[in-house]
Amino acid sequence: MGFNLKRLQEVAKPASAKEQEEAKYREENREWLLKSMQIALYLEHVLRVRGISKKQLAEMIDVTPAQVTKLFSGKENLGLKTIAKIEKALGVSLICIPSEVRPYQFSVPIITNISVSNLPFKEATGSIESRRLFGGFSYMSRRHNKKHQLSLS
Amino acid sequence: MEIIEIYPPYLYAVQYDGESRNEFHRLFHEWNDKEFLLSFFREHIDFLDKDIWVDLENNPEKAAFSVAFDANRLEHFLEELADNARKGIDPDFDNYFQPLDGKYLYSMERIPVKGYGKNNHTFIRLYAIKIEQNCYLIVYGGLKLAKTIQESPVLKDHVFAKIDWVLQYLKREGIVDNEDL
Repeated sequence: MGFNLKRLQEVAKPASAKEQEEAKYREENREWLLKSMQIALYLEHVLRVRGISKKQLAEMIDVTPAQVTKLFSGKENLGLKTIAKIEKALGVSLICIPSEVRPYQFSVPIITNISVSNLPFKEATGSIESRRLFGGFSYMSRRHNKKHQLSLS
Repeated sequence: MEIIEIYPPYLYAVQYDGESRNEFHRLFHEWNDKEFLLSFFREHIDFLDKDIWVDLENNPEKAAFSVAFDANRLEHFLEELADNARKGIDPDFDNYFQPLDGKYLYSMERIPVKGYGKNNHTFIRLYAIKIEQNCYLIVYGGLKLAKTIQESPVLKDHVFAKIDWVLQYLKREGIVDNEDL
């Protein structure tokens, strides 16, 4: 064999503190950093396809251009408030709630014993369950197996 | 030029003169940099039209994410191999570097296990010299856009040139002691 491993080990130096820190940071934060990257790239795609500038997006979600730059860095730990604003402004979905838990994540009492209609919540009649409902979302009524659009207004 | 410890005694990397990072850390830094990746794929968008990248649908954002995803898996995987070896489990780096087709018998290429594209292709590559069993010196790496190194703009002028350059350095430092190399 033509290589001298012992000599290589004598010559080799440790990586710089900065490099070791960067590698350690990546390892410790891998999962959420990847999600942040994925969101940033998805938004880049949406903006490119729709011809929206980052400045326009900043106006749409009422934040500063600097905040949009951070958002698009792919290294930002985005909060739900920011994510919801972006979803609403662009009409996209960045977070998908599993269907197994969706009926139990609502925050307003719902009426289960209602007839087939699309009446606003406050006009519906029937018994009230202690289930929680998020306003504006459609749901599947267990009792009637009908789909109703409910509103908090 | 310097040789830097990554996971001694299994993995080392070259740091070239004038560079602020060794090759290993440079690559993983770039492969996790959204702006770098997007800029790269927008500049080389024509390559995404090739048959091997058909699953990426000519989408530079999708290509960029595929690199970040593969790079994270690879870096974590190498970290785990090193960690297992430190815990006394037999080191297993040899199973994950394959011989590089080309001039040198001892030059090695690392491709992630999972690939994208209809033939399971992936962009990221590490190029290394095999010092001995389970010991590798990373000399270069990059994003391979085509089926061969010669067709890939970032790689074609660098891979073999850098292997040559590093071999000369290793000879000067007495790390290579076989003149036939």
